[in-house]
Amino acid sequence: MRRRNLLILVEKELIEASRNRLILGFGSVFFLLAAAMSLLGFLSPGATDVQLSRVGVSLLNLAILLVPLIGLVIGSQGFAGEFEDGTMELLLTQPVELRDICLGRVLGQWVAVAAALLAGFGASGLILVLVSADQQLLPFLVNLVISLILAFVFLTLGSVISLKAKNRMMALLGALGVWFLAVILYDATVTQLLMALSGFPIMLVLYGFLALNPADLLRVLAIRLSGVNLLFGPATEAMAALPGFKGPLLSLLTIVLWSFGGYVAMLRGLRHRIFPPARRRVKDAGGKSFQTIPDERSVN
Amino acid sequence: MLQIVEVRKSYGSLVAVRDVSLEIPSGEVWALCGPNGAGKTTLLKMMAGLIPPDEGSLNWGAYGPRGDVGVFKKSVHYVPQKVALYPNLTVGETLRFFAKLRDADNLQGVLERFALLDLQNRLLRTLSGGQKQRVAVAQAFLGGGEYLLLDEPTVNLDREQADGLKEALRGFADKGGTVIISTHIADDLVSGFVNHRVLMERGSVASVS
Repeated sequence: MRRRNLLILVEKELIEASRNRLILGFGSVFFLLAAAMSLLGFLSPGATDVQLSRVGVSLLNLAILLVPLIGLVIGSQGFAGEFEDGTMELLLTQPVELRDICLGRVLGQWVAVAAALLAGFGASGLILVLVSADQQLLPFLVNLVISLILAFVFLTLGSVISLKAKNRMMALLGALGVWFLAVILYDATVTQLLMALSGFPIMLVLYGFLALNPADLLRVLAIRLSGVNLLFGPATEAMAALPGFKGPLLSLLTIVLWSFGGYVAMLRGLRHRIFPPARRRVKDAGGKSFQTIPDERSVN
Repeated sequence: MLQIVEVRKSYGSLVAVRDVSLEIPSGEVWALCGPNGAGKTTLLKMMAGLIPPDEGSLNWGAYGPRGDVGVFKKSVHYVPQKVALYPNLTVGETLRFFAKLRDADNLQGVLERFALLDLQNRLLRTLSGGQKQRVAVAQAFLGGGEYLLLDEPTVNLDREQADGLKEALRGFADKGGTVIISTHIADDLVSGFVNHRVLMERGSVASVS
């Protein structure tokens, strides 16, 4: 029953997402930019060998910029919009659990964003394979997979913002603020902080900063895994310093924690928004406390 | 039988529902009447399980308060005052969504009863207020519910549509279901249609007739 309800909710989210102008716009822009990037790489003066892996990194940079933005914006509009419009009220009277509502929302939105990313990476990959059959696919695929993970993490974070905000507009502002901090400001801020913290064990501090920002973490992980020797900012140095698979494993573990933590925060946020803790329980005539109204417990 | 015992609900210093007690048997249509701000919507939302009372309890016979929440939600169907449906879904997609969640097998019958067959492929955002209201009410008839809670269900409906709704609600009650509606337009909806009328004033029950 539980899996069935989850699938029903994911299906509904997907149908809505397929008509969402924001997602359609993102998909079109990403597709066009990705295709243009590949073609320009091939047509640029002096270009004799267009490397799929290099274009993959360029696409990753594009994804690092756009995917957190779209993930945060789309995620932030979901719950805030449902509470504002009143559709959440109707949904809460249906036999579904809160965890299915949370997971169904993020998964449905993620599949839609993933389709846009696949179209962009796919177009780019196709162009490059047509130009030169001698390509290494693995680094390209690594960047694609990491972009997909990035989308999931930021959709989850966007949903958390959505549940904390009073309305759509506040949620949007919050989402844009987090994006600006994570994608634009973070590296520069970390560099300044590192200079100020020159007396501390620098690598440890770097790992700490890296773990605090999933966008940076995934970017560095992609660069490390794809084997393309391009360094971006001080955080990459920290990852490069770890021997073997230690760095990537640590990063993946951190991303799993980010995803799981985001999901738990979303579930708690939804539960608290619907049932403020102080009013969840009442007492019967005998003074025994019980839950008077139905909540997210068993629905089977 | 729905038993409401000494239920109270406050929003800050405002007491929205004040020590309300009612016993509503199955197979009847009840109307909560009263002016705006009388506490009708708050009471209905408590019945639907959307907000908890500060004090008192609501007992749904076999379903609550400690019963199976899934069974409760499949049995108690609610139509909110504000028509809130997914604007990017069609009428058919919306009703199929709710039908699947409730394991309902009467989708076709509901589409026919509420004259929604021709609107099946229209997006909700393109419908008029009355058409949206019909969809909102129709979703409550999906599945084997035993209680129907409707908050101001006729607000956007014309006379003919309101009469059609009354007929559907009466039919639901005649099959053993319980209907509870709230309305501030007492005479229009209530006359000759409901079994009992609860007049609410400032959060309290002023009379039951």
